[in-house]
Order: sequence, then C-alpha cells, then structure tokens
Amino acid sequence: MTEPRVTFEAFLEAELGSLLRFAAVLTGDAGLAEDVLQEVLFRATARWDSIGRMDQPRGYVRRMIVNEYLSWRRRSWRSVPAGTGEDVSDRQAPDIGAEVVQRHALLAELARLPGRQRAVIVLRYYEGLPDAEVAHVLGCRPATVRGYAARALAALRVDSAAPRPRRQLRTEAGTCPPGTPT
Amino acid sequence: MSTRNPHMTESQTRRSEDDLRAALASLEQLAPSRESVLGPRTRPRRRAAARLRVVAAAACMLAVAAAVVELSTHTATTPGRTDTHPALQQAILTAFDSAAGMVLESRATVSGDGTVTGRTVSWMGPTLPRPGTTVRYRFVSTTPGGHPRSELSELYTARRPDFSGLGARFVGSGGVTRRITTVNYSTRTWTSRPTRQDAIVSLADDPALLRREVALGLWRVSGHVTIDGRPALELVWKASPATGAWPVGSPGRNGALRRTLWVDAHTYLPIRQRIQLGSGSPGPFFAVTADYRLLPPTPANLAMLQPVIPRGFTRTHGPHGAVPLPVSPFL
Repeated sequence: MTEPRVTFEAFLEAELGSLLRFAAVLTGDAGLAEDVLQEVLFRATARWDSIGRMDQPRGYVRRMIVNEYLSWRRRSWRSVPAGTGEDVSDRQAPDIGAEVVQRHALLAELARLPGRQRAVIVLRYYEGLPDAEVAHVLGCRPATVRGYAARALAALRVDSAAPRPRRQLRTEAGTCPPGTPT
Repeated sequence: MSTRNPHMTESQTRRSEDDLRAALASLEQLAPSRESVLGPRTRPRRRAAARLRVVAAAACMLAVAAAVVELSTHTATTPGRTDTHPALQQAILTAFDSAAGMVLESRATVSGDGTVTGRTVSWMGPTLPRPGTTVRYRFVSTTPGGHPRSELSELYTARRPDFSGLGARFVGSGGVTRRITTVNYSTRTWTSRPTRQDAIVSLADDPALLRREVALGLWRVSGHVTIDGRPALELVWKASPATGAWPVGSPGRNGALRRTLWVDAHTYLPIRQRIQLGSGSPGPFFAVTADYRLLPPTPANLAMLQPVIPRGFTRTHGPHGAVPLPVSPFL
C-alpha cells in the first residue's frame, strides 16, 4: 500500500485557512461553518490514506464540505442566517452607508436561496471555478449548473457581465445526484 | 456598483457580479478559528450527552442564584400620571420594528445592596428577529473596574417571545439555543458546544420581550425627562394578571420587580432600562441599569456578536469547564 502524497497535518497547514473561509462563505454562518468543517475533517482523517493520494485533495475536501452543507440544509431548511437588512430604516439609522445596507440585503437574499443554488453561486463567484468544475463538485452536468446559476442570479437581481446563450439559460436544471464524497 | 436611484424600490435594485463577489468575500469574516475546528474534541454526536449535562449545570447555577433572592416590597418613587394613548403605543412599536435588523448594544451597571458589583456589555443581532431566524447574543461581564470576568455567546433560533423563562429566573424568553460558547477568565478556560435549550438572555437585553410587553400594554408613560441631554419619555412597568404576562407567583406578578424604561421622545427607540428586584429593607436588593445603543449592521458591529477567546485560554469539555458565574439575578 502506497503512502499518501501529503500527510493530513501538512494538508491542514497548507489549506485550513482557505477551507475555513470557504466554509464561512458557503454557509454564511460561523457556527455552522465550524460544525460543517469539523464534521468533514473528522471524516477526512479516517479516510486520509485514500484522500491523501489524490491529485487534488483540497478539491475533494471542498466537495465534502459542499455535500455536508447541502445535507445540513436538507435537515434544517427552516433556519436561515441572521438579519434581513430589509427592516433597517433610513430614518432611524441615518449613519448607515448605502453600500453596507445594500450588501446586507444582498447577503440576506443569498441566504434565502436553495442550498444548491447558493453552492453554485459560491463556487462560481467566490472560488472562481468554471461551470465544468462546479458541476464536478456537485456531481451534475454543466448545463444543470448553468440552470441553477441563472435562477439564482435572477433571484438576486444580479446582471451577468457576459450573458450566456439563451438556449443554455433555458436548460432544465434537472436533479443533481448527491455527491459521492460524504 | 449597484444601479439605484431614489425613485427605485429595494426590489428594483440591480446588482453587478462584482457586487456579488464583494458580498461573498465579506462573509470571510465569519470564518471560525483554527482552534475551534481543530480543538481536542471527538465526533459531536458522541459528545452530545456530555455537552447537555454541562449546559444544564450552567442553567442550574443561574436558577439557583435567582432563587436565593429574598423578595420583598419595593418602595420606589411613585410615578406620575399614566398615559396609554394607543397612538403612542403604536409609535413605540413602530420604532422598535424599524430597528429590527440592527444590532442592540447594552451596557449595564449591576448593583447589589447599595454597591456596584459589576458591569456588563452585550450585543444582540438582529434586534427583533423573526421566529425561525438565527440570533446572535454575546454577553460579557466585568468587574466594576472593567476587568473581564466571563463571556457567554449564543447562537439561537428565535421563536415568538413568551414569558416561560421568567418564573424563578429572568432569562430565556425568545428562542432555542443551537450553540453556546462560554469563557471563564478566572480559570482561563472556554467551551463551545451545540445544544438544545432555552436561550439565556438577560431580561435587560431582550428587546423582543420588551416589544411584546409594550404591545400588551404593560408599560405606561409616567413623565417626560431628559437623559444625557436627550428628551425622553419615562415608562413604568406593571404586569397585569389580565394579560397573562409573567407566571403567577413570580416576582413580576407579586410586586417585587420594578422596571423603568426610557425611550427617545423623538424616535421612540429605547435609551435605558432600570430593573430592580427587592427593596433591601429587609432582604437583598439588586438593580441593573442598562443603556442601549442601536448600531447599524456594519461588518464591525456584526463582529461584536462573535465570541472572543483570549490567546492562551484552554478549551475544556468537562462539566466543570468554563461556565461563567452569574453576576445578578438577571444573568
């Protein structure tokens, strides 16, 4: 049996910071990010012999984080992160910068997205992954990813800088099968 | 940048992909610490029972502290005329609602038997959560001189505020805690664990309960005063049996609890609340005076809701871990 290319400790040393940030952005909740990442790392340690031999262990662990987050969303769909931003009154809070208020409102709307749509948005716009890689993380087709992204961007009222062909936007999202890593 | 003009509603605001990237990047501040993720703990489900025992012990300490208070009649200054004009009541409720998404900062002085025994500062956000949404509450207690004693931070799911937690103690009215983090400065230890128990929120820091009490007509205007140069309305509290508020036999229903609230005369937002328990003649006397500030939900203010673990403190998991000592019957 071959040894892992990278030890778990070395992996954490190199990647934990970015995984912490990714989990926070994905979940929008510090406590949930901690729980999700802790659960994932616990499982990853038990399987590190195989994960450590992969070409991109970070990508695999990131996929585990996404799947754990989506599983949590299925279990706890009623819970959404704090704050709505919609209740802030300009009259009562004249010192709030408009940009901060708008960003807060955007984050609140982001929190209300279905789990897979949010995951697509985070992977595409925070991680900067192309749709093909997002599809790989979620275990579905690129066309499905584009469908999720189109609906999420429409819900968030975000204008895409480079509109995609209409036939792609119309593609039915279908159902992404649950990802392999758990 | 977003495209928006004064005539557009919020629902019409358009955003760019850069706005989206910036918003996502701002969430990085929520990233948990390396220590919190890599701490010496095993799988959460296996630890659930032990964690619940520790939290139950913390709750018992708070309850016991409240139960030992000997209650007696308080002879406060008799309030002046009362005014329950529906329009004024509605104005206060509207003001509370307008601040729903803000962060409430409460700085309180705790007195016992005539001397200042400690100070507290807390932050809650959002100030008035909708049922089902997540609330963060951070409560720091210090010595009279300002040296930190303990810290309690909760992440809880809000429910409709009720009076169920106000029988023997004065906490826990509006939610179910999902995670509780405590720091004990005397032992230099801290804990953080998931849980399922009533949220522990000081009576002085519970705007959702306060709003409900206003809606039930438990607060009556007693006069006009000036606080720190600001015109304010003074309101006094009285639990009425007809409303069903506060459990029968609790201090809130037998006259031992006195509360005064001051709201800004222009905005109707809360400025200060004073809570007194007992009279001191005979028996103990506790009082908390809390000054409120409503802060915009900027990243800096939202960061105040996050627990702070000082460098070098040890994480503990046992039942004798970093449970903060109660500083008053109100937490």
